[in-house]
Amino acid sequence: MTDPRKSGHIDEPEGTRPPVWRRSKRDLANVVWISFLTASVATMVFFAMVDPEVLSGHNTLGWHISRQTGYAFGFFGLWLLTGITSFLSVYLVRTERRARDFPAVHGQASAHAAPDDSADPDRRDP
Amino acid sequence: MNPTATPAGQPPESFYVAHQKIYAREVQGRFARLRNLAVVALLGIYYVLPWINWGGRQAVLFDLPERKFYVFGITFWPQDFFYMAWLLIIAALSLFFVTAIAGRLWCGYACPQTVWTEAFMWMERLTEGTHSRRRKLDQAPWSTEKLLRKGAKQFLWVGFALWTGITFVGFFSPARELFGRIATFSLGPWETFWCLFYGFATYGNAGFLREQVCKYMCPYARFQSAMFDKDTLVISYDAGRGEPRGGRKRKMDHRAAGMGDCIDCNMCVQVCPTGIDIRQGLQIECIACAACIDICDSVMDRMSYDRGLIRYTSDHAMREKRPLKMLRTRTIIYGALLLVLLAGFAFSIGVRTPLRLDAIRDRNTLYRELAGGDIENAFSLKLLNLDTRSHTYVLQLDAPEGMRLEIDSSGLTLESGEVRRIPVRVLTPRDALSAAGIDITFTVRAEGSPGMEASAESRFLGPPPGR
Ligand code: SF4
Ligand code: SF4
Repeated sequence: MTDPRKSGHIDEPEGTRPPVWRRSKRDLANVVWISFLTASVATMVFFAMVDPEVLSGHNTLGWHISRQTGYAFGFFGLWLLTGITSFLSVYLVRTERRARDFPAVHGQASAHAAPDDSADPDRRDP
Repeated sequence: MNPTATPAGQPPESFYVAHQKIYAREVQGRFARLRNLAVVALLGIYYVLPWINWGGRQAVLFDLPERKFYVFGITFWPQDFFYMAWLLIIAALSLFFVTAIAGRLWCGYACPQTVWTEAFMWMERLTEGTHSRRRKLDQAPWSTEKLLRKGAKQFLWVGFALWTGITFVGFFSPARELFGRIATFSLGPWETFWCLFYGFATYGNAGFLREQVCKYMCPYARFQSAMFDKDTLVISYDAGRGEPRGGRKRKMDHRAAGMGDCIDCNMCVQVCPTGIDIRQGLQIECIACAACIDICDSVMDRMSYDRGLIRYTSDHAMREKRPLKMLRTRTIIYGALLLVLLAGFAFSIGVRTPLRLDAIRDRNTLYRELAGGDIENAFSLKLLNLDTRSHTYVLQLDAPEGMRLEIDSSGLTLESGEVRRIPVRVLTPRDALSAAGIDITFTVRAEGSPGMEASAESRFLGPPPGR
């Protein structure tokens, strides 16, 4: 069906454009995905050095865990850590403007007038 | 989650026309065939590899529960982490090298995101038809046919995603046994979890997110420009040849009428999975899938114009009409570095001795003075047979004259993969001691395997001489 000679769709109206994601959605996707990738690499490096079985029983709570549980907890623990890091970085970058407009600094009540991220220059959606 | 939904009442953003869903037009042609080949080959490797045995064991198995990696007859241990780090560096550098030469070749043909998306799109086409039929189906009210087609698609997608997840776990836990446990419903909780987790990730990334991953989430897509230069091979529209664009009659002499070769049919836009118009120049969204080349070539054929209005070329080559320049400082440096790293890797794998020896001093006493006037140090040796077969080893001590080694255990035969702690004592007459600390070396050799030896250094401690 792809040969324009046969398909006859050559004048088909265009209308197949994907929409642009909202700022908040892009931020969320970046935080989740990038922290996932870095956590995967960190898990590999960490468990190449440390055998979870060695940690088992030697922690404060005296938990005994299998290797598989250790790997899984390690991965999700690291993901949580990288996730928090990503989130805070994005949050700080996105709220920079708002913090600068804080009334205590400029003596103007602009912070109330600026809902959420409307001061963001990269914001694409109205 | 529907990532493509636009909030109601919002005007389209920038020049992109917001729509509910992508219905990219199917393409055939040289590059589409090439990509299909890459998809079949890569997916084939992925799904078949866990089932191939090598020397009585799964050929490629990253045995996490046992903490051993088997790769075609070579066994890697956590101690071999160095090789993995090295491999990762090689992989990263290869990516730089390929990107500098040919742009986002990786994205177009080899990225798992592309490959699985393509596979999911095949299943979509199989059940719901071509892009125009899919659009009609989505707009139509629910009917038995719609239900059947959509149900069939979901069935294929979910099944394929699950199988992908199981295969993934099969790389980490022996695949045949894993499958046996699935068949008897006795899969462990973590195995079940990871099968579902990876299956779900595949379904989400390849079924729904698709090119959105490339556009918004992929770090490589963002820093690619750092690896590009004006001689990098990219997919470009030859504006000098195509403009001014416009519709025309097939037989007309467009050159005489002052028109370029582009007939403004918008096919290149319709096939683009990321929804960009390549005629506006190289854009960060372009994943180099070459769909626009294929479709434009077929349009050119139909118009009896030369192919290649959209083609693989470099900025310099197109502007200055000169041949591609592959050899440049950047590519030469990347290439040379890559060669050195690869050669070093091959060499170190080649001379790698599957034997390891560690010497640990007894922590409780520094030394003991024996009744006969001898000084004794105790050590614990850790011997690791990393080979795929068992070996019998001989232990030796390299130390000054008069020092001797006493071993409690006899018969140092270790099975493949066996680790053994061997308590040993080193003795020397007090008079022979020339200093309070003397460096000594333990060496272990495999009987009947010349060259297979490992050594460990330690220190013999005694009272200061002359006391
Ligand atoms: S412009 Fe679109 S269709 Fe052309 S190669 Fe890039 S992503 Fe593919
Ligand atoms: S497919 Fe080729 S001829 Fe058609 S609009 Fe695109 S560049 Fe022009």
